[in-house]
Amino acid sequence: MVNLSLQSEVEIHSVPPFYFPPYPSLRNYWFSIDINSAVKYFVEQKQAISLFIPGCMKDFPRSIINSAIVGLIVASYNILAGTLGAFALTRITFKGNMPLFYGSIVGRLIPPVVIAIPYYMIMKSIGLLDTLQVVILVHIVFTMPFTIWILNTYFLAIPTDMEDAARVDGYSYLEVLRKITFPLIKPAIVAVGIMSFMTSYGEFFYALLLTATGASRTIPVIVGSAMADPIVIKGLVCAMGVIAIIPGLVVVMVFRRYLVRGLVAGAVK
Amino acid sequence: MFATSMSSTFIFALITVPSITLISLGEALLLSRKFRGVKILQVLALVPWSIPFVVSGSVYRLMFDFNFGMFNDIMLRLGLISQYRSWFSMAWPAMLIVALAYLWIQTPFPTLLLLAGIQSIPEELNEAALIDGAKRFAHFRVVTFNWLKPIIFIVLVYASIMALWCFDPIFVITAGGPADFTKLVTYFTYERMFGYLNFGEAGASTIIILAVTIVLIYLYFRALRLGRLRLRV
Repeated sequence: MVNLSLQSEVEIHSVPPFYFPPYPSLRNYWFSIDINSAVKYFVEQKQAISLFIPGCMKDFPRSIINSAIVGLIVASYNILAGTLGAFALTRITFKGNMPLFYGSIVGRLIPPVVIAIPYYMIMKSIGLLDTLQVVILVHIVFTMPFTIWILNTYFLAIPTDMEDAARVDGYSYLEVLRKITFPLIKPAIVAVGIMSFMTSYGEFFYALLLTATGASRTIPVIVGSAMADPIVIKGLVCAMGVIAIIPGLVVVMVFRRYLVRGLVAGAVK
Repeated sequence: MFATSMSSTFIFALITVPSITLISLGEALLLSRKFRGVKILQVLALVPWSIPFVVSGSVYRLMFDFNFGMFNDIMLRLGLISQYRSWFSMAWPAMLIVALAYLWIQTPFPTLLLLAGIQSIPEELNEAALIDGAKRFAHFRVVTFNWLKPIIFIVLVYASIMALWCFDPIFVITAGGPADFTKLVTYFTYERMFGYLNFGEAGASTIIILAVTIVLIYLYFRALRLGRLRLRV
């Protein structure tokens, strides 16, 4: 795909295909960000492909920003609410403790199609249908159960002696969480944040359903729509795909140790 | 028709679930040995998980394309086919390509699970097997496989649940496939809902998916409980 994104349009369509771009150029990346120059270029070259650039591609720069914003908000919300929620579920015993936890896991395991129609109806009646908030809300619903599950496992593995001593000394629950437990679970928090970011980044189905215009679309929707057209402009789509992979790759490369620890603890125990 | 969609999903699950288990088991076994560069390979094994599904679907669609896909070219040069073929208009190749695009992203997660399981085998078991003179396959069968059985069960059920989720590769690659062959229930529901605007039929199919999912979730909880008990020993 990197290979295709560096070739020009004429070269892509040659048979047999080139395995290395003969005259590599970064033109396709610039085109995918600034679609007007793409149209101008193709018109100058008198290629008919200028007529077939899909209209959804003019929203690509906006969608990068949208994806970044949604991912960051979802990750930070997961870290905050997940820590508080998992702490409450494990340390504080209240009625309906475990059923709440199991119920949220069930919510995560149901295929997204099943709940899609009611979600659409509800969001339409609230009036949030095309905004960024609805995407954030749905992604939070999708990532929270897994977050709470992993953090639950971590919390259960930490002995409560120091926390009980602190409670006896008069700390409130929040102070116990902040001062005593928090340094112990830092790797888990990082893993959870990254996992929720990646899940929200690659989420395609709900982002496709709940957004209509470019104001709130995310990257997977744009790439998917450009790809599902009958006529696909391969160079541009490949350039968009490479741009879409880069944040994921960077995050995985930098944070791989935390990711491994978080993923493993979550689903095994 | 919904019945063909269910059968397609069943075929898809039959293809992917054993594939995921076997591939991740083999990969975890490979990655658990200590040789030079194993750390880099472990990182590389995790990389596909970070790719969005649509990008993977796009890569495979462009690779198997009829006119200028690389796969056609390689097969032609190897002499396996005599002319370029359109892989997406044949039933089974389309299903296999969708399964491939889906597997590429789903394998790192079970691989990591099994790798953690292998690395948690106590050394005494390995040494005892070595002292008793176990060859490689016997070692695997007696020590590793028995230890990993609860984790493999978790992986199996998790892969089944995730096989029901698969929507993105179908949307990007085949949009239903030749004569509805690759149209899994998720895509079927989406098409009824937003293509034909037939909310009644879509709702009915979602209820059926829900029923199957509840059975699988119950199995998943059983698997987790078994896993927890076993690992505490």
